[in-house]
Amino acid sequence: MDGKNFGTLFAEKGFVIRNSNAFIKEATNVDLTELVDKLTDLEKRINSSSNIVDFSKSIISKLDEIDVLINSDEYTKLSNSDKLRAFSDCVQKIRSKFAVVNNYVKAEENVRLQRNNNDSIVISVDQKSANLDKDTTLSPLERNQQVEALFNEKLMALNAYNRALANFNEYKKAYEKSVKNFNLVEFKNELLALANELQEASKELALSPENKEKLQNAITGVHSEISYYGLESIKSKEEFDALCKRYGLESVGLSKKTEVVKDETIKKEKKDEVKKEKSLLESVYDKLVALNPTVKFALKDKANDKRFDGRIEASVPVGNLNLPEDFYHMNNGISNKFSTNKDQILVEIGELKLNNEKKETKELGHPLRNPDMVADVFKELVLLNPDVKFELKGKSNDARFDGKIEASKPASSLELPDGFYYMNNGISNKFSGDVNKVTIEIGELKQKEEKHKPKEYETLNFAKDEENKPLVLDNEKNDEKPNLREDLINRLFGKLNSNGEPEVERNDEAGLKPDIIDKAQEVVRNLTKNCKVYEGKHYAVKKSRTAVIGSYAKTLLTFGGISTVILGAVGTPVLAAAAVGVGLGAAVQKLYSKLVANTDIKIEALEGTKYENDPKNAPVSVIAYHEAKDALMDIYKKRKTGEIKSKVKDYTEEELLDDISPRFGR
Amino acid sequence: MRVDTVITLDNDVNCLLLDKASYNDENYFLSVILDESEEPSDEYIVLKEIVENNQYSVERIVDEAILTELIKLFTKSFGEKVDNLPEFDDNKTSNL
Repeated sequence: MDGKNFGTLFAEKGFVIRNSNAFIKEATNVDLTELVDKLTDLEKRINSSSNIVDFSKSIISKLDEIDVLINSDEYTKLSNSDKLRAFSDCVQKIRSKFAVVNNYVKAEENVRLQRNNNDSIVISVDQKSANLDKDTTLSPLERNQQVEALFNEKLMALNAYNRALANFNEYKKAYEKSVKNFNLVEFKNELLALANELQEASKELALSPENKEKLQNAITGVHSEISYYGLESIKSKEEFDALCKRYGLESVGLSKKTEVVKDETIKKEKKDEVKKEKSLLESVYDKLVALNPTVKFALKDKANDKRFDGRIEASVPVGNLNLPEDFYHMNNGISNKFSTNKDQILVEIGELKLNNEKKETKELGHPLRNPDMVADVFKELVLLNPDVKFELKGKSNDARFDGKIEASKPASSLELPDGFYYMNNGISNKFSGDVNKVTIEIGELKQKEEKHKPKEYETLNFAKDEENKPLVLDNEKNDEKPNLREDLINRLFGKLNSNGEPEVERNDEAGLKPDIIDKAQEVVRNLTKNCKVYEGKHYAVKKSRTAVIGSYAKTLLTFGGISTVILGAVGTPVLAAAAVGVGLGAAVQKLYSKLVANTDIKIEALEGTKYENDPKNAPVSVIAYHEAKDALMDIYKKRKTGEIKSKVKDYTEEELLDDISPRFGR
Repeated sequence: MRVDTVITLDNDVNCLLLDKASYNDENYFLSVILDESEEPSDEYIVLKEIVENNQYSVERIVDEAILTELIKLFTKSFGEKVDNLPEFDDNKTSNL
């Protein structure tokens, strides 16, 4: 390192040598550039701190898991009530530590949910009202009543959204206030003490051995998460302080950096003054780039206007730029000349011409309205959606919109700025309390390399472990694989007779043995033993997102759902009879016909008519349908991927002649 | 809540809503639980939509009387879906 410049280097990075003796003693054999880099890196780690919102979400989710474990375990009620209460109180105390953050997070989720809901209702009401206008059969009274109903529907959704938004803003304020005097170490110590208390309290509970182990793991998870939270930040601070002490350094922060630079540079010659001015301009440029990640900048050699010390061009107007500390906006530029900073500069900010934007200006007919607002929203979108790529496109082809932004994800999946909601093809804040209203088209950003697609459920893999097994459509021909239908019928009804029907002694109207209910319940338990959604418990909807799903895949899944729900309740055959009574058999047959059309594929269980439309046989039919659902899904997947193709039609000689005859005038 | 959406419950379970039915002024959804890789599992449930203080929540329904009525509605809807399915065309499988 050049010994003459280390003072400047430290000053530029915001450090002052307070203890010169310590510095001279310790810095002799040290690479000072490395030292500065190390300190800067540590400073970044300290300031990046840990994300309290994510931490809070994670802990709350773990506490929810603990609640589910306790509430779902039948042995819990055998616990001593005082000890159970002590445990619950402890969980509640930990929750209360996150109450502010949790309220904030929940309010944010609710706003998003209401925004989605409002958007879909706006679209639906628009559609219904368009249809209503076309309907000439309604009487004046009916028409008025329907319009009123649509109006109220839209208004209610909007009011719900606005209430959610007001609620969110309130909690956001409370959250911001709470983090101002936040002491990480103190916060962690309190939480760790409570986690220990929770651990002790859990030992006093009566639980099944399986859940006891799960509970211990969950509590250990809470403890570990608290222990590791913010550890990097704390460690970095300790290391940073130790290094500063050793080298006699003091961090004076960004605001004082230029002051220190000035102290060093005033001693330089006039030649260096030009260099300094240039580096000051570069420094402003760097800060602008850092503060405005979505804006394109270009550093120019000199200003067009002689009043300025230099020129920087930006892709957005000067008024839209976030400025470095002490700087303010002026006409066509920015300056810090009224600050206490001795190093003052006037920078001309010009317009950065972007080739593609110029082209659009010529091509598009609609003027770009609210350009500043569109740019502001663009910046907010970029900050709120770090994983999404955006491009500010300027004008929209559609006159309803004030501008256009392209995104690599659909508008409905974006985090939106406060006051905005989704609408068809875009976003808007026209119903917010904001004075500046803007409606922006959100287009699809075509990416060259990796194009993001929403999850497509039609290509889902339903049985990964079965992937390499051959397609078996006719279970009766499969000697190796157990026949699910036979297995289920055996378990529920006893053995099958030679006709493939259950050998049951029909001693009640439904044709079921009394012990079948017990056996059915066993099947239900097996089907639902891993299900994490328990009956009788309310689950809040944290978020919702649109799924893209093909018509066949959706129909097949719906069929799977119906047959599974019926099978789950087969203990009383009413459900099966109800479904068969409204045409489940006919619908399954039709689905099967469509899926295997133009192929040689057959599913034996669906070929015959023996299971159809006899209410007494309804449970057996449903079991057969349930068995067939996997085979149907398999056919669908293989047809979709082209593994099963339509047959090429074999023409008879006559058909062939008929087909070609028009071309030969026959 | 709408059909063709994935909802995430507060216990982090994801459910794909397949069909909706209204019964006794309540909305119910036939849904499939998604596994960790967001693939449909073999677990299908019927959820009742609950709206309280502008917050959506759901409850799993196992009551057989309600399920019987809902199964009729879901089955009818399934029949209509099947009727509306396009013919399988090997060359146009993207939207099937």
